Formats: sequence, C-alpha cells, structure tokens
Amino acid sequence: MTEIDRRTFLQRLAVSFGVVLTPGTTAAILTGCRPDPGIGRQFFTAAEYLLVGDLVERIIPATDTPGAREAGVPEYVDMLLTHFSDDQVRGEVREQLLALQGWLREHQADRIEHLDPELAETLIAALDQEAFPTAEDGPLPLDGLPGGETPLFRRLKPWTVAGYYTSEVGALQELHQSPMGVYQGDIPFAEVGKTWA
Amino acid sequence: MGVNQWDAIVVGTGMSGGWAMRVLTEAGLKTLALDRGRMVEHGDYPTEHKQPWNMPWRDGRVHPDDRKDYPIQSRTYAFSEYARHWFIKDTDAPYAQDQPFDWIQPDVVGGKALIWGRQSYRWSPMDFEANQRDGHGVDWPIRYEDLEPWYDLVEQTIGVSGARDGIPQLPDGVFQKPMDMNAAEKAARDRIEATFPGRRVIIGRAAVLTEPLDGRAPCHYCGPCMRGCSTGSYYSTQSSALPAARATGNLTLLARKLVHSVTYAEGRATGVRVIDMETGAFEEHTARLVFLCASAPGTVRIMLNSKSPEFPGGIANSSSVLGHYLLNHHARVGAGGEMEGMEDRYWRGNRPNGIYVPRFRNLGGDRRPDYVRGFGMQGGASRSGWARGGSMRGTGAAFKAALRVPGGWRIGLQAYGEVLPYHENYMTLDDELTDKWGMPAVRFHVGRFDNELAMRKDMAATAAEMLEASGARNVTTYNNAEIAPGNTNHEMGGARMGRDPRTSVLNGWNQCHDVPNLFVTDGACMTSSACQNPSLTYMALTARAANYAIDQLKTGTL
Repeated sequence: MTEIDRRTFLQRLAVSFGVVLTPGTTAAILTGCRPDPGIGRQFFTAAEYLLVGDLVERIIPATDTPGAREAGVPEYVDMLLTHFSDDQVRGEVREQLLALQGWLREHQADRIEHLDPELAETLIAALDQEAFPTAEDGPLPLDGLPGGETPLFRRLKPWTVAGYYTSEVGALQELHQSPMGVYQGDIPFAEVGKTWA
Repeated sequence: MGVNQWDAIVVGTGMSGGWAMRVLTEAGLKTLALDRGRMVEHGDYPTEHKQPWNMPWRDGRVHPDDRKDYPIQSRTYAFSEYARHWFIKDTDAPYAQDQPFDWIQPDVVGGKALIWGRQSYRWSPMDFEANQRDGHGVDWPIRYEDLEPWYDLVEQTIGVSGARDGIPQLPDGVFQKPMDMNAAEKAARDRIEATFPGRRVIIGRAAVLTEPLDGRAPCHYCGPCMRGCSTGSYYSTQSSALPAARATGNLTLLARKLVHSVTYAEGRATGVRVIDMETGAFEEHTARLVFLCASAPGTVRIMLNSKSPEFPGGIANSSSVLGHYLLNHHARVGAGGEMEGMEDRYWRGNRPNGIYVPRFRNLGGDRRPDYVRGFGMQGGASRSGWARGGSMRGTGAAFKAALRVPGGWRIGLQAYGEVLPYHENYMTLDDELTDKWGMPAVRFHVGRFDNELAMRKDMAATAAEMLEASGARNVTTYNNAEIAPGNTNHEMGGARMGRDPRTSVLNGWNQCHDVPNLFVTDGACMTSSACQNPSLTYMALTARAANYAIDQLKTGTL
C-alpha cells in the first residue's frame, strides 16, 4: 500500500469506527510493525527515501570525496527514525516530507534535481534558514515550506552530519583518524591538515 | 586441605581484590578469589578498536530496548554500546532507594578496574587529619606516613604517568613520564597560575603507561580505555594483578559466584557462603583469612547479611555503625568556555587523560566561611570537530569544506568535592526486595547536606572565575545537583576505619575490630572521602593490609 493509500485507508477507518486518530497513533500505524534491527530502508517509503537522499546530498555533497548519499546517510537517518525516535518525531518528519513533496509537485517537479537549479538552491537555503535563523536574516525567500515547530533541517542537519562523519567515507576519506602509537599535545595544525574524525 | 579449604578468600577482583589476591598469592597463600561477574580474560575485549560504522547502531548508541535493562548503569559516562557488556543488568540486581542513589556496578571479573577513569592521586597528610581537625567523623587511625611506602609500591607496580609538581596537598609519587598538555591547556595554566597564587593546573596523573612496564606496552593513544586494552597499557586486574597472581600457582579464581555471607564461629570468620549463579546452589568455602573487596555497598551488603547469635545485626557490627557514614564525591558542577586564537595549533593522538586542579580551598590562607573541606577539578581543552556542523548554518561544498578544518578551542573544568561523613547517609538490607538469586537487596538512604550544597555554589563560581582568568569567553556554569549521589562512581564508607571499636568497624590495619581474621580493604573502609579519586588509596590500603595479615599469620597472631 502506498503512503497516501494507507493514509486514506486510515481516515476511512476512523470515520467508519469513530476512532480519533492522534498524530502519534497515525504515525505508529503508518510505520507498521517494528522492523528487524539493522541498517536499511525500513521507515521511509521509496519516494521519501529518494527525497531524503536528495536533501542530505545537498547538505554534504560529493566533492573530491563522496557525499552523504554514497556514505549511507539516508539509511542512517532511516535507522534513527525506526529505532531511536518516538512516534511524535516520526509523525512530524513524515508530515514535513509529505509537505515538501507537495511543494515540489506544485513546482512541477518530482525531485529537487528536477527543479530549476537556482530554485533548488533557494529551496535548500530556505530550509536551512528556517532551521537555523540568524539576526541578519530577511524573511524566508520561499512560501509554502513544511514549517513545523521543529523545522525539518533542525533534525536532518545533525543527523546528516553524524551519519556522514561516523561513516567509513566520512571518517577515512573526507577526514582522517589520528594514527595510533603517538600523542603530541601541541603541534602546528599545518602538520595535520584537517579535522580528526 | 579439603576441596573447599583455603588459606585465604578474596571476595571481589576489582581495584582492591586484585591487589589482595596478588599480595596473598605471592606470599604463598593458597587463595580463592570469588567474583559475581562473568570471566573476562585479558584480550577478551570485543569492542576494542571497533570503528563506529562497525557498531550495530553506529558509534555506540544504546538502543532504547537495551536501556530498559540498564536504567541506572546507562547514566554513567562510561556506558555505551561499546561498554554495555561490562555492566550489571539492573533488572537482575534491583536495589531500593529512599532517595535517588546511582549505584554503578560492573558485572565482570576485574570489576571497576576494567572500566575505571584511571586518575590516580595520593591523599596528603591533610586528608588523614581532616576529621580530627574539624570534628566531622571519627579520626582516621592512620596517617599519610603509614601509607606512603604502599603508595610507592602501588605506583611502581601499576604504572602511573604524571609530573612531579611539588604540591604539598597532592604529594608527588613514583611516576612515569607525564603526558603533554595541548596549546589551550598550557595557555590556561599559565594565566590561571599567574592570576591565582596557590592554584595549580597540572596534567592528570593517570594509571596509563607512557613507558613499558612488566611486559605491558606504553599507551598507543586510541582513546576509549573503557572498552579494554589488549596491550595492557592501563592498569586493570586483567593486565597486571591477575597474571601476577596466577604466576604463583596459588590462585583459584571462580566467576559467577555471589557471596551470600561470611561464616563465623568462636570469634573468627570461618569462610564464606556462596551462591553459584548458574545453578543457584549454595557452597561453603573455608579459610584462615577473608578479605572483602566487593565494592563499598557490595561488601557492606555481605556483612549485613552475615548474621549470627553474636552478631544479629551483621558480622563485626558490635558498634552498630556498619552501613552508616556512606561517602561519595559530588560532581557534575563546573564551567565551560571558548578560548580565542591558537587556531594554528592542534594535536595528534587521543590522550586518555586531562588536566587537574588540586584542591586549594580551606588550606593555607584560603579559608571559606560557608563550608569545610574542599574540591579538586578535572578538565581539558580541545578544538571542536565535525559535530559542530549539526547546529551550524550552511549547506553544500562550502559547509563540507568548513568542517574539514577544526573549529575553535573549548575548555571545561568539572569539580569533584569532598562529602562529609554523616550517620544519616546509610544503607540497609531491604526487608522484601531480593535480587534474581534470592539475596536481600540493598536499600540506600543517601542525601546531600548544607556543606556540599554551599560547596557546589563555590565550585561553579570558582570554575567560571578561573576560566575567565584563562582568557575564555562565553563562560557558562552548570550545577546539576539533581544528578543522584553515586553517579561519580566513588562510593565509599559503610564499614569505616577508626581508633575506637565502639564507633568504627575496622582498625588501622583494615581488620575488623570484632573479627580479627576478617579484613575490608575496598572503599567501604574509608573514614572520610577527601576529594581525590580514591582507587590509588584503596590499592595502597589493600597492599598494606594484606602484608600485615601475612605477617600476623607468620607470627601466629592470626
């Protein structure tokens, strides 16, 4: 059953039995039974998974080293939502992704990559500004963003960062690990060159 | 000797038990060591050097379902998916709390010596005189000079790295070469020491090798010692005491044995009564000497449960103070801030150690009107890494490039304060609650009082004042008084040493006043807590007591 079908089904169920669906119970039922532990796509629908992959890749893109998608960040985020989040967080994230999918459709795009490149940049900047506002910010450059008490990037940014830099790609290719066997407390940064993973 | 007859029995194989079994076996005594935890052989460290991406939930995160089994243990800093297998399953070993008390317990042979913080500080003459001087608690029956040679022995045997700092209230020991400070720590030290005469900032003294010792390799600076160290670079029962005791041929070590009680007849301990944790069956073992080293609450629990017509309230409890005067350290109070500059400086390697500020309050000319005793501080500085990206504005290649360079320096100081001995801080056996094996559970009754609360205000303010002097900006303080006593891991007291059998359980040799062949050398023996991390003192007291017991056996006194 697709996401929308399940939601519709639940609404019909609620109407026919007079059940009051709180966001929590909706999310719980939408999530289904608790999947087996491990990393893989268990929470996200295929469409959500693609969207999250596009978002995390915009946060940490492939450059001279692989980006967040190749480092397995979408699966990592799925694992956090499946095993380490409560129904409220799951429900809010799902609502935000649904809203973002709706926003894309309004702009005649299935994926962020299908937007005009400039508009795609503006979308990501707006999601970032919404989550991490500063005093110098003007109004959000776009209307109709997912919003919410905890904006999407306030969660997705730290999840992406943690997922990326604790991955083999992030720790060993993008950054590096301190070699074993020595401790030098005070050396020029130039001798090291980049952040220790 | 019969099957279950021994020269000596040691209950517990951690910080104190490791030393007891080493000294007793090396003196030729056929020794039985018992531990409630499962066996862990040296090198059997399944998460050592595991990468975050090789962990089931990435980087040690504890699954909510697992957390339900470890509601108390999961509150200690050392607990994570990397170390969960060392800790006791709280649901198997419940205890009662009149007020919240976090009893952090490993459940493996080696005990806390496998997962300890490794900070190793001597007490000073002042600490052994404190009770007598200000009247809180009974006088210690020993002085620094009594323990000094045993500190020497312990430091040389376990290996302690540190600098000879020449601080009277934190005596120098026999040290291996010290670890380095980083750029921000050195800058903070210079400014703090220049601003506050009498306050010192030193590199931590840690039971982590910087030079080879007895087949153990110097630290390779991987970082998280609590996962276990197959090169034996930090002191543990597995890396040092156990191989030494085994080499004598005199050690029998039995794991998964829960000691139920000490047996007693005609003025002497005759042995121990033990529950086999696999079968539930009771066993009896007899010996000429019994050493209790099961952690302060663990030892007192066994003693309270050792009832006889002579001692209806627990063995060696003619004074009725057994279980009382529980001590711990109070912490989770301090300050943090940002250090500007030094962005051209960095480090290489993961140092399992920090910086230390020895006590400076209520000594010399620095007197406080609002509390007695004092506190030390542990801390460190580092540059922020990739994790700062989680709350940073920015996306894309520029964001990624920014995190490739470390962020600014941050510095923090956390205070560890002395807790006074109070009769009303006590533990008993619960009337109803038992553990999975039917042994009566502990009930804790431990609070904090005015002296600690007044000290905490000063601890936070002082940490902030020192960080500001160090040049730190945006200094913020914390005082998490809601975190339960016990969470610092340093539980002590309950069977205190003293000069008077009417007000103490143990004499100056850690020997029960009432039962001369029963010795208690773990944290339960402590008469006051001082503010230093206590393990080094437990080890020195144990070595001293075990040697005394051996001498007494030889001369026929015991």
